[in-house]
Amino acid sequence: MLFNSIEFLLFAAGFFAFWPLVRARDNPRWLYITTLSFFFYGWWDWRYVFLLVGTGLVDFVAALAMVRWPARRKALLIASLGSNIGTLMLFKYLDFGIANASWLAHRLGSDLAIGPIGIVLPVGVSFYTFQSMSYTIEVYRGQLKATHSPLHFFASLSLFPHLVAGPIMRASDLLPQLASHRRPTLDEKWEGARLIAFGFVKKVVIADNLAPVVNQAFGSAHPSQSTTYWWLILAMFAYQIYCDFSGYSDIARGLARWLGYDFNLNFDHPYIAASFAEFWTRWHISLSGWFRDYVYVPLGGSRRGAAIGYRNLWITMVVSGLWHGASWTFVVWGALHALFLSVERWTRWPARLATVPGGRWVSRAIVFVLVLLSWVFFRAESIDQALAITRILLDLPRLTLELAPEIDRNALALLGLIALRQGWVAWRTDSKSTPPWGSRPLFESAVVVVLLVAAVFLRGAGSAFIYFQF
Amino acid sequence: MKEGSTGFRATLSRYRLSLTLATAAALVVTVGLIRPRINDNAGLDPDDYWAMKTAWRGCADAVIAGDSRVYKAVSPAVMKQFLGERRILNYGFSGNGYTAEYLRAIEEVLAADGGEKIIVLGITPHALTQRACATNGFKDLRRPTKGRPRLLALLERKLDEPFGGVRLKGLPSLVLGGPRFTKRFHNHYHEDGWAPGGQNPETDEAVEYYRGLFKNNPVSDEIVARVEAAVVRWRARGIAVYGFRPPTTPGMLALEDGDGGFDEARFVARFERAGGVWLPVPGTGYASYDGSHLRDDAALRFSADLAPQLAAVRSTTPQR
Repeated sequence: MLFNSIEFLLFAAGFFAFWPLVRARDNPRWLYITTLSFFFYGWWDWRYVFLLVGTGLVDFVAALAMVRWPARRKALLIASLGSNIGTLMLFKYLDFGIANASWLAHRLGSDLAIGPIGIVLPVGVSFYTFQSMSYTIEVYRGQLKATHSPLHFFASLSLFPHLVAGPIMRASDLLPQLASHRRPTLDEKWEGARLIAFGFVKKVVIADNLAPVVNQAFGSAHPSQSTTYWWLILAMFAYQIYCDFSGYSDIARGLARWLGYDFNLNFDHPYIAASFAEFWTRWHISLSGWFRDYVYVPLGGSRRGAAIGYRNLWITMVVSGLWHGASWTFVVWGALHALFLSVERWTRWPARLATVPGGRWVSRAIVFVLVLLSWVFFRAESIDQALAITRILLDLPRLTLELAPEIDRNALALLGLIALRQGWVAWRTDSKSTPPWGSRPLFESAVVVVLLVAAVFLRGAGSAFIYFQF
Repeated sequence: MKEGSTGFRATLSRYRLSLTLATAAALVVTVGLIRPRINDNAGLDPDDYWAMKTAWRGCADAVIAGDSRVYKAVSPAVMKQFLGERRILNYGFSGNGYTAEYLRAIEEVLAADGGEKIIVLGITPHALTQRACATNGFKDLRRPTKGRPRLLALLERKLDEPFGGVRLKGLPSLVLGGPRFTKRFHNHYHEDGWAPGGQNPETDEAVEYYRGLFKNNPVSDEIVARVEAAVVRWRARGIAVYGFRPPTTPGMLALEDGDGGFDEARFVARFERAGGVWLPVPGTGYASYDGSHLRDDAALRFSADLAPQLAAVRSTTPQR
């Protein structure tokens, strides 16, 4: 069920209509959340609810067993991680593995040819398996007490706002929140509405209006050879994916506020980052935090010398790339970010540049341009296509101010408005200023009204959220 | 005075969320009611039109089949003027593909009584692709998407008229006070299955749209063979079978022959070998409103060109 669908509007209306009747007591509240979240998830394909229940049950039982048999904690953790990673391997990476094995066998002279199995990727599997893993890891580390209630556990795992596309909530953040109920205050309800309105505008007005222009560029049988055109298309894709995903996160956070819960911030204006290290504290924060705490730090982080630190950085970024999809394009995307982070760590160029007047703005521009280059691999349908586009992009002598005729002028105008707002946000961040209208309730209310009306009438062609496929 | 003002502010603050949502809802409804209609439809209600078409069984002497290029282009009423007072129906569906289910359904529309039966296939290359067969309007109407109740789809369609998005393309005319928020469509849904239409302003954007559809999705030999087998089967039952390629724009024609991989001469040879008679209508020369479909006046003209050609072919080379 997509947030931007009539089904979801009806679902949400029904959910919140009966929520006040069940929220006060634990078991009815958990049962209500779990049942309706399963319904929300099963709307795509009810069979995958069993997968969600299956992987969740393994983690729930493993955590209880860790409490019962502390000496076997490690084995139980391995079993839990194995179950989650195995699920991901089977549903997400099996065909990728088969294709690569076939290719390798062919290169080695073997006639072995295995066709793809064609398993359908369950929606949101990468998100809920990561969340479920965080539960057993935190119980293993003693950071969280295992819950004895399967309803409590599944209410947390399946809570519909975050279930299919995050934010990836740590069990230690969400499970305690669901243990009791607190009625949201008026301010929290208002904040929820504001987040939902902004989220919808980001998704249906910005992302969905940019999507056809970007899709046409990447899907064209006769792609443009204009350098200017491709830089503009990449800027559009950058904001399409940002608004698509952060829009989803905003809606999820807003819905959580209405329930009385608090989801972590998942995006914090990533394109104003003045370094790659900063970019990764602003982009998909819940995922980068997960990889930092459960992959990079356990590998040793940067505590065991520079070389090991770089190795760990590369492993983390490449695995993070692969998390986004079973394709070499995502691996290259992760590797590119590892490269950018390594160079930055080695040379400390953003810190040096920051000492020069206007240097922080130059850093921002450099980071943004390099992020755009990396998005080519994220969006392209093959390495060959990505390389062909990269070649055009790097043909800088052909970069002109003359607009290619094929560029959509309306999308360009939208991009201009977004760029202006982004510049304003960056300036406000640097000057630590608050907008002149600050906390004027009437102004804020008017903004929300305009956003909601815009979300209805200026929405683009509806499409699924990009991150559902991950 | 100050106390009253504070009380008013407190009340406002307390009901801020409800008031904001109510204002937004009121504005949405108001704009939805006063905005110009995107679709100026005439004739049958579109939902009734599609329900009627999908329900047709054993009620026609002649069936014209295909996709939207066919149901927008061929008027059964005009055909009657040349073929005589027979029950002629246009059985085209949007985004349609020649699936086995659709080919069977065409046959089922023919009546058991009333003399010789005719099937006229409008062959667009897209209708011969795997994607069209996997996701076509006929299938959606006959078997609504699994898990999505028909009622929801209906509700969505009903809400889409007043509350449809104008999209980015509609923004300039909205901001600059243009006469319309965005392009407007007009369709006339006829009881014989014909639904000619147009849009204002006219574009050729369908060519780019189809370029995307043909990507990794050329004409499928398997589907051509399926059509061929159906023609053989129909001929064996004594049904006269004709085929034609619905006219379009030069850009679309080039796309279909290029990216779409359609070899018309080869298809015609196979079609005729199976027992069908090909009607060599002009590929272009009729006005289109979107780069693919014929405009309503051009559709009328095309129907008036196709019908005598069909009548002439039937009189000179009758199929038995």
